[in-house]
Order: sequence, then C-alpha cells, then structure tokens
Amino acid sequence: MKIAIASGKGGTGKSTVSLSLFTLLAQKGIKTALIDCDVEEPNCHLFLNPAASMITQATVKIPEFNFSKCTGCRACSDFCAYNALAVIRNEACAKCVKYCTEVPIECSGNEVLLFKELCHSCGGCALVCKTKAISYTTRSIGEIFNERVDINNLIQPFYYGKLNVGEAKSPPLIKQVKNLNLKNVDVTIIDAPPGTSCPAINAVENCDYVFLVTEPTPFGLNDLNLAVQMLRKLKIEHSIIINKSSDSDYLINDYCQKMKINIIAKIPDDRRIAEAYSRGIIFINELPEYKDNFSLIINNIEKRLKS
Amino acid sequence: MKIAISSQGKDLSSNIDERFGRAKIFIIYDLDNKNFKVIENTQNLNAQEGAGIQSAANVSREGVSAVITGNCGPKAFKTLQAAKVKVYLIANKTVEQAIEDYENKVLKEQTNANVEGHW
Repeated sequence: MKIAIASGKGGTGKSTVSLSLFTLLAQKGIKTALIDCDVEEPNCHLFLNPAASMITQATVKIPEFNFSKCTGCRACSDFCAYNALAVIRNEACAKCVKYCTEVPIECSGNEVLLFKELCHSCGGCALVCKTKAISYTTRSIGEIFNERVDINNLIQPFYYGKLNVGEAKSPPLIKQVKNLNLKNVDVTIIDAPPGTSCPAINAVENCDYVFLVTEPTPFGLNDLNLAVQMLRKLKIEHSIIINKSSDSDYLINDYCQKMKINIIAKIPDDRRIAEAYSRGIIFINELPEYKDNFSLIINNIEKRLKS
Repeated sequence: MKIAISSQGKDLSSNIDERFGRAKIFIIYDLDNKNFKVIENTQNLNAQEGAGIQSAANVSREGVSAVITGNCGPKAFKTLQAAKVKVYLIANKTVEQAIEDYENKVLKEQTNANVEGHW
C-alpha cells in the first residue's frame, strides 16, 4: 500500500508527518518503508540514523551522434518536442571533406548539437534516424540512497534521492526512487516535494491515498486548494491534516466543509514541536503525548491493510 | 554573401525585432544580388524552450554568414557559433538601416550572448 504525504505549500509539515507516521507504523509491527521524494532538498535523512547505507548513481539516457553517418536530414530535430537538438551544416568541414586527399576524414559536414538540459530521454531521435547515426549514452542526474533504519529493534527500509546541483528536472529522479523494488513491505510512505506541478504529481501518482498537510493561514489555504484540485484530477482519495493548528483553523474547516473533505488529524502549534525538529528529533519520540493525534490516521491505514 | 536580420515585418522598412529566438520574422538578405527572402518564425515565438536553438538552426540552414539582431541568448549564441555564423547587435533601427550599418562596418562582432535565456 502506497501513501503519499503532500501539501501544496512548502513548510507545512510534510516531513514532520512522514517521519512520525514511519515511526508509529513501525512501532506497531507494520513493515513500513519511507521514501523521501523531495529530491531537490531531501531532509528526512537528517532525522534518521541509518544502520546501513548504499549509494547508487541515477542516470538518464542522452543521444550520441556518429557524424560520419549524418545526412543532415533533420528528422531527429524535427521529432524532438523539446527543441534539444540543433542540426547545422558546417560548411568549412564540408569543404575539408571534399578536398581531402589523404585518408578520408570521418566527417560529413553535418553537425548536431545536443542541449542535454532540454533532453527528456524519450529515445525518439534514434528511432527516427534513417542512417542509424544516433546511439545512446548516459549522464548522471543525482544519487539514490538506500538505507536501513532501526526503529524499536526492527529494521525498516528508507530511500531518498538527491538531485545534482544545476539539474533542471526532478521527475526523472523521483520516478527512479519510487520504482525501487520493495519486498515484504506492507506500507510505503512517500514524502512528496511541495507544490502541485510535475515534481509533486510524479511523487503522488499511483499512490493509494494522500494525506495533505496544511497550515491554517491564507497561503496555506490557497495552496491546499491547488493540491486538492490536483488530487481530484488524478482521482486519488485524500484527507487533510492541519499542522500548527490554532484559532485560525476556521479557514481550513470552512473550506473542507464546503468541499466535503475530511480533516483526519490536527497537530497543535506547539513551539516544542519546532524545537525538536530543529534538533533533528522526530517529535513524537520526544513528546509521546502527540501519538494520539495520529490515531485516526493509523486506524485508517490498518483498516485499509486488512481489506 | 547572405545575412539574416530579425524583423518585426516583411519588408526592409520594417523595424528590427529586439529578440532573436522569438523574433517574428527573419529577413535573409543577399548582399551580392541585393534581394531578400522572408522567413516566418512563429513556431519559435510560441516555443516553451529552445526557441533560440531552433531559430539559430533555421537561419544557419539558409547559408548566412552573419545575424543582425537586438539581443542574443546563450543557447542561440552557442548554436550560431557552432555553425560559424557571426552575431551583430543593433537597436532601434529598420532592417534597411541595419544592412547599411553592416556594410559600412559600423557594427561590432559579438563574442558572447548578451542576455540570459527567457529574458
């Protein structure tokens, strides 16, 4: 069963909730995995002390060109929906080839420039090339961390992705981290990145349920609504967790009543929670009285597991 | 010898287009025969990414040795450089005036992009 913790607005408490749920489910003897999909700025690892770690490079395919076979027909650049290829004719090169009296130069005078940051690795350019001038190589976009965390003397899997600085696209890495083969795991918790565009969508896609974490502020409400619209389009069941709950909860309560969405949990605006977070501590470990705030969520998950 | 000028209109009295990648039109002017050809660039005007790359590839295929435009971004510049097309910048002139300035060697060859992408 895959559950995502998403939000819309950043900083509402997704990681706080993900880490707490990971801990609570594991303490109940449920085999749980946590995947931190906020690959641009992963932070769950700061709160967990892994017993074992394995790092692999995450790579994507990019095209490579054999210019001696290139006819300059432009089938590849015409096909590319991302304008990542520029087919140009190097007249100076072409003259060289014509007048060379020595061993033939491996050059046709045609050149294809690849702008790899625009390439989406679709594989289309090699498919449409009629002279088989295109093959594939790989380039690294980030790292995947595969760790084991000890909770209550039970080892639970924890994975996260870390995108290389300068990379423009996170979805390719998010997809790779999510697709890791998890054996013997009952519940996978996915800590999603903030927002409601490609990165967040890639994280919540194909999940069985999403908990949206919000805060009772105008910005929180605005972005919560965007996230709700996103989940409705994706047709994923969801409910709301109000973090930093206070007298302003009416903002969220009114919205949820109007939209007929269930508020399943509230976590109060307690400074001690922020203090624990700032010290890299999962707050329910330090403030166990707050475990009760998660009871309806745990019941919901246990019920779904049984059915 | 041919040069490309980014233009807002289809004739030599049109104002030059300040943008290269998302220019409305390119005028390909033949300096020897003193005639010209109009190329529409609307497909790149609307491109989300890579407009400069494709505009550069398109004008280089016309066999031009130089481009006169208002501004040139990094990806466009890289593509033009690879195609051995020189870049000259100009402001607030018509296409006709730009050609004149080029022929009188008033314009300076650019060694780099002068703006960021999506400026």
